Amino acid sequence: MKTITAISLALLLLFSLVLAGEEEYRAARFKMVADQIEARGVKDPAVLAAMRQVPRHLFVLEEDLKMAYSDQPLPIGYGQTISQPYIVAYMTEVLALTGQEKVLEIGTGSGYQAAVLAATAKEVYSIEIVPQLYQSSRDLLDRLGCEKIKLKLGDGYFGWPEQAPFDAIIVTCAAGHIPPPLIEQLKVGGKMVIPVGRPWSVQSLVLAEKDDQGQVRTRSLMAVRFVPLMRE
Amino acid sequence: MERARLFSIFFVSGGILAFEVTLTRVFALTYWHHFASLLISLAMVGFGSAGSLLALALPRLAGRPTAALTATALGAALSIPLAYLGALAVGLEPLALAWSASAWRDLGLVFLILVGPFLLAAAHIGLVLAWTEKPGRAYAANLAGSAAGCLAAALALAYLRPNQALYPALGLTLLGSAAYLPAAGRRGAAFGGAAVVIIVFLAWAWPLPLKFAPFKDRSAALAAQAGRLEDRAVGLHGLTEIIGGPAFHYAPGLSLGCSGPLPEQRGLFVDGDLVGPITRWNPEDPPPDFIQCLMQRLAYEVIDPGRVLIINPGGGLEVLTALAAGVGRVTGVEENPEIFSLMNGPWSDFTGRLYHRPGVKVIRADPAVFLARTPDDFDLIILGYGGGLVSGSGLEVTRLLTVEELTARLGRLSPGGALVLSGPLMNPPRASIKILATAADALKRLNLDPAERLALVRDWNTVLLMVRPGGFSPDQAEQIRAAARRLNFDLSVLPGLRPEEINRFHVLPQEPLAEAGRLILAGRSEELFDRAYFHLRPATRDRPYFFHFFRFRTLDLILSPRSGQPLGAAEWGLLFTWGGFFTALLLAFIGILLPLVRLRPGPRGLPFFGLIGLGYMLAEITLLAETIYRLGRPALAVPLVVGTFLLASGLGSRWWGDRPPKKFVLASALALPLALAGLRWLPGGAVGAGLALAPAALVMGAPFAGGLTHLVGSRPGARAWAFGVNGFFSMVGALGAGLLCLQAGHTPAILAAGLCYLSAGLYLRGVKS
Repeated sequence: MKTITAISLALLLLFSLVLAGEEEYRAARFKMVADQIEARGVKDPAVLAAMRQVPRHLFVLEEDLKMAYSDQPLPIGYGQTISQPYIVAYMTEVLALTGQEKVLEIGTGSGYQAAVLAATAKEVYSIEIVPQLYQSSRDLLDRLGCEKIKLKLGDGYFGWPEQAPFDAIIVTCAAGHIPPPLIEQLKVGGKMVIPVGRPWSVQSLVLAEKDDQGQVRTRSLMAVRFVPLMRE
Repeated sequence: MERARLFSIFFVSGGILAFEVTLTRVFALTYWHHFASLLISLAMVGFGSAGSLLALALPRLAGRPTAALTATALGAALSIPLAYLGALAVGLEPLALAWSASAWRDLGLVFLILVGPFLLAAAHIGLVLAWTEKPGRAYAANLAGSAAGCLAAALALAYLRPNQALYPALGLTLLGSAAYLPAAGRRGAAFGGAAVVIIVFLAWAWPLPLKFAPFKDRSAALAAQAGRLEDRAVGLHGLTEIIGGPAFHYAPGLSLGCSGPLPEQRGLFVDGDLVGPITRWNPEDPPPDFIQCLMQRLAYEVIDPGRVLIINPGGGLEVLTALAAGVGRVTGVEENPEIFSLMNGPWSDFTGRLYHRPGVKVIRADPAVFLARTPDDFDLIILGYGGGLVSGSGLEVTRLLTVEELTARLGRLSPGGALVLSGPLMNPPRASIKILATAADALKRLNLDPAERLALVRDWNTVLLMVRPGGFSPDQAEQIRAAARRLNFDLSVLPGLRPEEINRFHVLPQEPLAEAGRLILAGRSEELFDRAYFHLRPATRDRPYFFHFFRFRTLDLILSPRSGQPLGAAEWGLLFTWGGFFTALLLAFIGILLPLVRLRPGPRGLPFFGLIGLGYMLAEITLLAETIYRLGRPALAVPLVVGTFLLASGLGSRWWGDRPPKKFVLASALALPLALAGLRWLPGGAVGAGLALAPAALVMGAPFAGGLTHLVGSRPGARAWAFGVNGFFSMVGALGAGLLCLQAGHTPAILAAGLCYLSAGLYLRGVKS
């Protein structure tokens, strides 16, 4: 009896600790949204809700757990990063999603941006080129039950022609130019947000929009720094 | 014993200089060029610190000179591989300095680790100088050894992989430590001999690795699925690699209207940074369709060139573009011999023997030298200005991008010809505005009005500037308009451009390029330069630093909480240099004053040794920049200048090191402006440069040893302290020289160096020998 009581108490303690930890992360997440995202002008309620909902700390490396909700990008290995929370929110807001869209993401990385998109769109297709990152993000997103997200290991440059066209495309790694296949796979009236420029330099976050005639125009939104887009 | 000391100081000096030169190259691969240079400049703190520490410790070491000399030399040798491995193990990621506090911790750690070898080697040199009976000879051996080390490093870097090139540094230092084996008795000799054998064995069994930072282009390309290293060539221009797999596509300036597939490409990397693509082409087929959608194509729509010159064609995309436009004669001048060999050798078939097509001639030469010598004129001269942004250093001498050189290029165009300059837009635009201002100044020097002669086209990321001394006719302006409209490019500058024609396809906030063009063409450039956040004034002969964009106003932009504007690599480079300069000043102040607490009576000559240390490095670094400008080849200029300085100064010390230094400092003050003038006016390439530098370096070698003899005397502690003072101020001078050259120019920097020597002379007037 004593043993059962001791085990129960230990489990209870462990459970309480886990809950307390989760509560701490939840508080940090809400603070992150208020201080870093809303304060900088992101207003879309769906985006803000997604940023409050997705547990960013699960997408960072264990040694960076303490900085999971800080106002900075973090390394995730293989020369890649998980973007600064504000940039994730801003890029999602720029796409002006209503919840009914089919979205293509190039560069799954940690899977964090895909998880945020899944909370704001109907379907998310995401491509990752680094095999190790593809595997780890797939495992994590499966564990979190993100059924809306379809992942593929491959070269994001060519997009996902089998699933095209897309209402929105989000590229989360810097490219030297806007890949023509991605323009092809963007629906008329669709939007693509992409950081363009050299990886060693400051890049531009560019919004590309396809008008009714199929002509694409771009608008420079802000200066950013992303890791490079890698090709298969 | 004196002979053994001369032997050891020669080899240890050589070893540590070889280590410094090689490490600069290795860290340029691991990190970035400017960052590597700064890190190693700071590690030279070890030189000053050693003098200060020795000043305090010498009384205790006096009874065991052989043990102290052997331990410092052997310690220096051992610490070379250990410091290298330790620095790599820290895993510093310079890019992360922008956002991560732990990156700053790592930076401090790497810096501390690297101080070790310099501290120990300098301690050895300081001990020899402190105990020697003839400082002039010892100092001469020190300088001659350094020259030999510089040469050894240059040879090793030319023929070995950079990490393997560290071994000569290790070997030279080990040789230095072996000098005392005969005097150390049997046990000492056995111990020392065993240590040498073990080090050699370890170096053989576990070769030093080469590691690239994960955020470098190369690392990212290799991390990709099926990414693989396909070729590699080593040389003084760097480590050139070709990375592929089915992997890589690169097309800057590609129109959004282009939907065709891109052909198979490979990435061409130098020192881990992407410099461009190599495109597969079968000469049986027409050139790939995407070529017709590149911004560079516009130049061929306006000018119908018979002869085109492409400067640094790299992987050949510009050559392919010229061929696609039907150009009959294409000349390429490639300055990187490794790229030239790869493109003409193993990768020739991949490109359809592009460099050997009928009408194509690509030669290996320095572009500035080629342009100065060739009798040919060209209808189009194509020059990219983006390459320097890869290395990112504002301190890079950019000869091809000065007003004087662009003026010379315009003079080599055939009637109706045009100069085409292309590069990245940058965010906020600055390189593109500076190139526009430079071209406008070049036209003014030819008494031509820029308003009718410039056309600037852009997309979201790439800029193309066409400069036509003959002016654009209304028909040609209309051709440019039509081509830009067809390919979705924006016009920022064009004769007769209307406000409603700008910022249509790729919308930039406030279109800064068009606004800058308006001011420049209206003759209001000064207004633009004054109010800009960046340094936009054109680079000139005396300040040839095109990639110098940082001004203190830039910090307003960076630090503004609303802006959140990240820094570009070029601005980071200069910010680091300023940070390093102030750190060096602080460390010098502490390191110099510390021994004064214990040394009684206090040693003399602080201003003298400080001023000549400062003046020497101010002069050497400035004359190095000037020589790079003259020769156009840093890989040749660095060993030439460093070698000439060390050898000539060594001779000066050997011949005149025991004489009172007063007349030599005054001679140095006079010789420096003459050296600068000689570099600008003496003919004869590298030989002429050596002749211009040698007299100044010769007289500058005498004052230090003379100062030791006549100011300090034979007190070992005071000698070591004087060595430390000189070392600290040399470091301050090295960093200060770069900043002075950027801010004021080469002439003021040389005058400042002369002033240091003149002040040292004035100081000596009031001091008794």
